[in-house]
Amino acid sequence: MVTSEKEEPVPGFVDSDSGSVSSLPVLCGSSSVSWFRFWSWFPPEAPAVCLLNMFLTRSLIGGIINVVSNIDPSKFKPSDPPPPRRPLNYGEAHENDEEKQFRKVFQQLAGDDMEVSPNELKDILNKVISRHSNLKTDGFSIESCRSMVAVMDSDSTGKLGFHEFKYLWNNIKKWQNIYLSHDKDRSGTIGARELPHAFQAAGFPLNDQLYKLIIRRYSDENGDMDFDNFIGCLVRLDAMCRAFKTLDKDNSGTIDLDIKEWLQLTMYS
Amino acid sequence: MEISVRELRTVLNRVVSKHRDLQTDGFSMESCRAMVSLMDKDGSARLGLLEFQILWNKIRKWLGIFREFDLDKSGCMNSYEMRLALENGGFKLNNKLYQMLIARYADNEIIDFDNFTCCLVKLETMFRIFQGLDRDGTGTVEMNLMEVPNLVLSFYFTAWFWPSGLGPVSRSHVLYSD
Repeated sequence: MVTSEKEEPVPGFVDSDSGSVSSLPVLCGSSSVSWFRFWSWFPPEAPAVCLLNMFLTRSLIGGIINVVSNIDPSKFKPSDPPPPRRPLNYGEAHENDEEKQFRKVFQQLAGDDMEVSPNELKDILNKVISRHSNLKTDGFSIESCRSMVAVMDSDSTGKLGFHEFKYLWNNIKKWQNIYLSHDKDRSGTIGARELPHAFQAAGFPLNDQLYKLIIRRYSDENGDMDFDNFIGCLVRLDAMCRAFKTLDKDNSGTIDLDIKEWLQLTMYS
Repeated sequence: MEISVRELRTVLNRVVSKHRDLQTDGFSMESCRAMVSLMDKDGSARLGLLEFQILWNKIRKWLGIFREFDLDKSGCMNSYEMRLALENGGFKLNNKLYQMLIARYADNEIIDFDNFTCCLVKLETMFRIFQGLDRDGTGTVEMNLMEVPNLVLSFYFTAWFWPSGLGPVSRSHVLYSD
């Protein structure tokens, strides 16, 4: 029988004698209060229904909401592909105020190289979730952030440009909303019974066996999945489904892969 | 007598800490899980003695390659050294894939030893799953959308998802085009 191995992604230096771990120094950018007001997804303690309404009226361009309705169980609904890349000037000239604000904050986050590295992503994610006590988490690990950057990183620079970052951010917001609205017992985690509904809402209706394995991989010994694991899992699942759909030109639900395509599809996870 | 993921990690970290010429921030649980998963025939998430021995020999071989292609003796790999190391590790890929791997495993374009090892483990796993699926050697495998979640979990549960066994370990994994 497969034993349930508790997963604890642990970045940092392992002291070979004591086995204790000291964490990597956190690269802190400047963080002014206005940052958090903008970055804060929802008022921390707002009720779920209110949150849903707020989100529906405040979606950023590029984020499409999957409304749960008549999902064909045999079809997954990953997020829509990112918008086509446009010249930088075009993007900037056609932005509304909210997008302009987002871009300003991105520039502050990304630093001189104008791209968000896994470390920078980790920092901003952990900063934001620390303000949401209704999201239980032990923090996003560097491995998880590397994986998230990798699946979004269409030009293989190892970092996220503005559009890649915005796309990821919108997805995380969407999934955060699902997490909150499906955490029925307000535990701050998604329990084994809540998981199937949450995944269905996210567009991934799986089967019992897969849910069991996902729980074994991503949840704790009580079957509870915390926020960083929930997001980590969905980012990978979504990216792979999108990649699959891109390859499935005739939309048959089946693709033939040669070894190159296979490796491209799988090596990101 | 079986070794768990956590125990493997402890052992590996103890050993690499003794090799001062290697740059590493320690093996993560995720890498060790992928290693156990690759070797683990019965899905127990633990390695028996023989499985452990095979894994150990692999790691020693990779350590040798790492050292050999760390041309500037920095203790880690840059993208040029990484390409050479991968080829000599038996993975002849194409430019796009090398670029993707480096983006995925490098920290500021530098790959340390634990990330190097993790990359090789996952590459080998994926090559062997492909070969296992492509029994008649056509060079392609068919995949269904419903199987995508399996891939997401595959580094964790290799034996579970591919019970007919991984393909054989060939001496080299070569992409014949490009």
